[in-house]
Amino acid sequence: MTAGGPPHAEVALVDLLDRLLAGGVVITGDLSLCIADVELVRISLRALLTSVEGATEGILT
Amino acid sequence: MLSEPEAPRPAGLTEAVYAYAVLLENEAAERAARELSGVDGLPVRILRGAGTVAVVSDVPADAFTEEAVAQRLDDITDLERLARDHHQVIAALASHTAVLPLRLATVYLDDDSLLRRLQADDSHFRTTLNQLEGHDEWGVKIYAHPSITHATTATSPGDRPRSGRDYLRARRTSRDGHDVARQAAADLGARVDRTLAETNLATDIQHHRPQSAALSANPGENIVNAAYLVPRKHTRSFQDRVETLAAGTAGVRLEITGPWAPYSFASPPQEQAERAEPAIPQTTP
Repeated sequence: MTAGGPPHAEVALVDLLDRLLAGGVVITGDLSLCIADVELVRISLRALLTSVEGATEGILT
Repeated sequence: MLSEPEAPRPAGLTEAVYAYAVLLENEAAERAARELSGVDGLPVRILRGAGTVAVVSDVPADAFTEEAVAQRLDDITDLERLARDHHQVIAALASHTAVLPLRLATVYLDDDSLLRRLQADDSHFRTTLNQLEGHDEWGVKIYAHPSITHATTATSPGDRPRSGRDYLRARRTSRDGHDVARQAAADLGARVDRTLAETNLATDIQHHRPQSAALSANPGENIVNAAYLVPRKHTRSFQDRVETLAAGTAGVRLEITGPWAPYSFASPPQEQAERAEPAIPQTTP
């Protein structure tokens, strides 16, 4: 997600989050999994978009 | 979320158990796991169930409450660190044996609590792990990239429309180009699905939501964001087939990612079917 793009050996964060937030086994946990699936996705996408918008502003202005 | 009251915890003891993955007993994978560090750099250990094992880290409980995790996910730096730490453990295990990756930030109060949940789903976990053995997940992303078909009509930055009508015409041409490319990308996606299913080059298919243009940081609009479960012996044929299909389609761009641990194929079938597509904030260009 850095300006020059992620190094090739490292998987792209967006691809990783597609899997980690919408995939994987859900077995009810005691603590964090109180957060519903959708919330997990929504919260992190907000963080992603904010950071991208911030970066774009920096480049364009 | 507790179905039964937990035994009272001794005062001052504030550790919880963060779980990464479930696998069948496997000496090589378990040996590798003991060398790994997981979330927040914490050591990884094996928790042995009856036939399956869970790979876990002991974490400070207060760092993984619902509120604390929500905060982490809301900060891009923390989110990325957590995701990469989690993924690193799963990827290392997956290079040895079939793994069932757990959803990010799955945390239990203690070993017993996790073992009870493992026990409850034991036969399902074993069945799924046996099905996943010898398979990898591969990602296929298809982008609409109209400039490939409409290079001749594209205006250069210095080329200003001479009248309002010219401007509208240029706008329409560009929009039509986008529509054509979007359709071509969607058609290609359907063709890829069909071909892989017919040839058994993939044994399962999942579609993720398309990635917003801002996030993918790649040219074109992401139309198809699919994951395929591919038998390892078919890896080369799978890639060749997908690339060949894409090469014959104008106006699209293809990206293949992988191999991944089977994140997209770890849930029970009924749960995958029931899971609603989450609404994505799409950024419009």
